[in-house]
Amino acid sequence: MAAWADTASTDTWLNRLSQSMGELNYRGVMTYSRGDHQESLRVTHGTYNGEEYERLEHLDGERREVIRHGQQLTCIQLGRRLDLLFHRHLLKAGLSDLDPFYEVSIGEEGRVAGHRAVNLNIKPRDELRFGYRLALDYDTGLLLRSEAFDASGRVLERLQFVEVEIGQPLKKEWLGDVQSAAKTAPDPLPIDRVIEEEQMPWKPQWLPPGFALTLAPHRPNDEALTYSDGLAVLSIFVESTTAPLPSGEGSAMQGATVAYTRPVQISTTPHLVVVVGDVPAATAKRVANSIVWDKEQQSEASNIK
Amino acid sequence: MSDVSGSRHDKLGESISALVDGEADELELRRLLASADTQSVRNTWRDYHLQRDMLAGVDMQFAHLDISQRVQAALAAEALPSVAVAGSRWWRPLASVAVAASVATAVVIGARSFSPGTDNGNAAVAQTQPVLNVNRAYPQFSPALSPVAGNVAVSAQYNDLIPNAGVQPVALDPDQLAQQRLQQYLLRHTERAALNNSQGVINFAKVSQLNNAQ
Repeated sequence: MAAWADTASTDTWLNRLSQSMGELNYRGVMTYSRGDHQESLRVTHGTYNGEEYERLEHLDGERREVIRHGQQLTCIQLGRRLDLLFHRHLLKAGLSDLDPFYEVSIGEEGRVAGHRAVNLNIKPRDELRFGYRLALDYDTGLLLRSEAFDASGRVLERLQFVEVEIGQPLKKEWLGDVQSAAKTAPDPLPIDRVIEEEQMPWKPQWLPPGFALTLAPHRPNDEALTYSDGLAVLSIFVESTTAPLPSGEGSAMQGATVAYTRPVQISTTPHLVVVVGDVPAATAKRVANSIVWDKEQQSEASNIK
Repeated sequence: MSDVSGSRHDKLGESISALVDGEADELELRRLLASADTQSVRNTWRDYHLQRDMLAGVDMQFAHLDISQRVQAALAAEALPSVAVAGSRWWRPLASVAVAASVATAVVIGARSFSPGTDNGNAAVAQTQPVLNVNRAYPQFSPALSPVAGNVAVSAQYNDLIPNAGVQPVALDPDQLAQQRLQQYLLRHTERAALNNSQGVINFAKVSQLNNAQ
């Protein structure tokens, strides 16, 4: 079954990973941990009656889950329903293009969640991004464990299957019931286009090398530019605020995700630039500080939502 | 002649040592940077770090990287600003770090001032971490809050972060409000991230609150 695995290159493993996460049937329990915080989640993925389903259930604390059925993504929390649209197939980062920015090597074999696992070490070639250690199922390439670490080698967060079954047919009751959620939710908005830099009155003048604009859903009042280098993703939000401008800047971190906030004045309207991403704080700050406004649209910039 | 270059080298060595120990100031850093293309300085830098990290029990993962590149990147990004959110359960503020500190402790060493791994929700940790007091002005903004860590500064700061006044802050303390705002941005970011990497909905494992998205 895994004859390919014995001689596989890092590229093969990365492509295999990318493929398996989207194509395989799997169901298991994983832990997500950062610092002293840890929670358990059940993950179900696969096809049922020819349609693709994906479900993530938080098993600790209040009940909340995310269900994807085809292109519709639904977040449920305490009966409240939030529909999001999901064009997953629009773009999938090409993991094999990482080489200019990350050094990928195959580590020792191990065992994760009862599965024979291959470890991939992904070190950044600069200080602008984090590193990753991935453990992939030897037979299928499924991601069994993922760790993000900073320049000192400190693990920032870890996602790991505790137990996972791969390749079994899905049962209907595993897929969740989106319909049972509150009926009061608005219909999902159609996505007829994706945001491009030209559509925004602002854009970053600096991004870490290799970060390219990705496709993102376009909804009123929820506009952002999202960039990725194939592993790390960062989003830039620029929003007007009715409150007086805060006088400082701020950054906070949760796991491997940094949020950097910076107030700016455009014409007479206070705005906030917020950069959220899985990158070091210095990177997020540099991106936020590089935002420039299109001069012609500067007078309209106060209309940004 | 060799005495002169030798003493200069010693001086640089001292500066590097001070930087590694979090005791250098910005001027010293810039001086180091100016001479950072001599191989001996780089080697000294590396030796000091390896020594220090071995003492501290830190695994130096990135020792192979070119230090000057990191320093320059950090300088370009200037100082990391400060925020502290007291008792935050989810988002942990980053400690106050000025230029030299961001290089010496956050970017290069990474073990002390930049310590998300501890995530113990205690802002006091941020304040007690070694920080070089190289305060920098942010001329484009009101200087009312200087970039130093502290609960007061933070509260004031985040109390104002209410784009579009979409969230009524009345009943919330600034910490809760800040957490809520950050969770919203995280959710919106995660939705986009899920489109663009192979983990799909697993990305949402990082989002503790799924409501308040819009």
